[in-house]
Amino acid sequence: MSAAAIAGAVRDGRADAAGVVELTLSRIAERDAALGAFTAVLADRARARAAWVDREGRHLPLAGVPFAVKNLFDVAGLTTLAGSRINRDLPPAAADAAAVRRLEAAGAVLVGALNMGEYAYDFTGENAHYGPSRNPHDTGRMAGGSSGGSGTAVAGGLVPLALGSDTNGSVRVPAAFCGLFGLRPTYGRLSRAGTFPFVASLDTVGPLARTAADVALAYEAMQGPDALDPACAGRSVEPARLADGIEGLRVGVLGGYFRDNAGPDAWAALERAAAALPGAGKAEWPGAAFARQAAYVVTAVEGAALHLGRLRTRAAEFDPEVRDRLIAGALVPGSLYVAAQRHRRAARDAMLPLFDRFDALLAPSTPCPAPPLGAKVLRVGDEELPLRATVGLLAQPFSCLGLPVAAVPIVAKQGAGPGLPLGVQVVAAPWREDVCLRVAAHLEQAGVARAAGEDPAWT
Amino acid sequence: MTDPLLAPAEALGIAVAPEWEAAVLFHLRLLLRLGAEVSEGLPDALDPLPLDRPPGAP
Repeated sequence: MSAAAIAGAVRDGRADAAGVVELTLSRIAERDAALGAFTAVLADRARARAAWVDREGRHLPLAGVPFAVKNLFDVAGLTTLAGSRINRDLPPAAADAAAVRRLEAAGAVLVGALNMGEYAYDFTGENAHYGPSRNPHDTGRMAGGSSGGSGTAVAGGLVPLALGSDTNGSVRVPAAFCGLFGLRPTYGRLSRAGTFPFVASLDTVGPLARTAADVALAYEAMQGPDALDPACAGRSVEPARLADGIEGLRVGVLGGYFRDNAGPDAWAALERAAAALPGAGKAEWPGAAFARQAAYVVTAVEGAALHLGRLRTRAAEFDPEVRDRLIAGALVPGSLYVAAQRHRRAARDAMLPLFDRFDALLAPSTPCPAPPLGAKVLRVGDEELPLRATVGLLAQPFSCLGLPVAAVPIVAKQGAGPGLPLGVQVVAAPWREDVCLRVAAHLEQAGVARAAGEDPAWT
Repeated sequence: MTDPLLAPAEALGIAVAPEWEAAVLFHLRLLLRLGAEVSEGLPDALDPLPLDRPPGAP
């Protein structure tokens, strides 16, 4: 049952937000111990908000839809952990993050905060302090990260909607591993106010859900300018326009770097998606590898600068795998950081003309399905690479340019068994999230894309 | 601290424990290689992207 269907039932009086919330809380209590998605459950707050929706908010677009947020979003009264042990010493947040406020203003009901990789510097969903977010389709495997709890919570049927953040792929990787739809918006589209930052140049926030329409609903509800986030553009709300379909849209399938770094299952998923898009042509972005490298350097250096004080005084309290990468970032010469930022501009100038020929580009989300928990090495082609740094290598080039990307879960090949989920990215020009989401919705309607696993009832 | 690449850590006030050194060096060498590669061939008349400006912004 989708978030849109829940809101429809609450709007029509076929269901009450209070009942939806009780079902959600009982499901979390029943299932989360085995999944590790939640770090805080807000039963009292959720019940109070649901009662308000039943009294005054039944007409709202997300009326009664339970949601949860990665624990780097401020939630009034909760300490914003950002997946760390160190942040436990911070005072509780005084107010909700902008995204939380906007979803609640649209009728959604916050039920809790979600596990994540420490300070968002991972692609695995593992966490040295709070345990891993487990993949509901095989609890011995990674949920993906760093928005691991967000993927786990939606795919595990604990909530129909979750928020994550995406710096280098942290919405798209868990969406792929957990078999969900997701959205990384254009950099600057959605306010990040009230979130614990990671990389100022690349950070975005975005939703994960079981349908393209649910992602679109959340995306629309969170739009709008916000003076509290200096990167947030002053654009008015631009709807996703899913009903427009894909007629007239030109789709290109990215080869080259994306073909070379995709395993056979990931590429087969991409080909199934491409086959459902009439007239899809071949596209090349020769600068993708360097764009990924520039994002990699910018991430390490800006992340290190953010955490410099903590690295000086509390380095032993970090997750060791995060700490080692941040210290390395602190030691990169400033000249290379500025060169990486200059490279971003060159890469942008070289790549954006591709959108003169194509409205949307298709690429695999990850090189492979979810690896086993604890895996340290990822094989890409003939190379064995450090997994934590590499899982996002197909997502990172688009982060480098701040492009909007929809994450789309692809149905396993017929006769291949249930298997593990895989996803594709639908990429568009800056500010064209509508194109990404229209293609995602088309793939869903064509039966090629579908959220993996059980579709839970909420009423 | 035996590797000179790690020397700036001391100036930054970061104490790198001996058992962390190998991993930090691995990541640092990777970053230096990637950074050097993306810095090659950039034209002089090219400003970095501003930190807080969306890529498609006018």
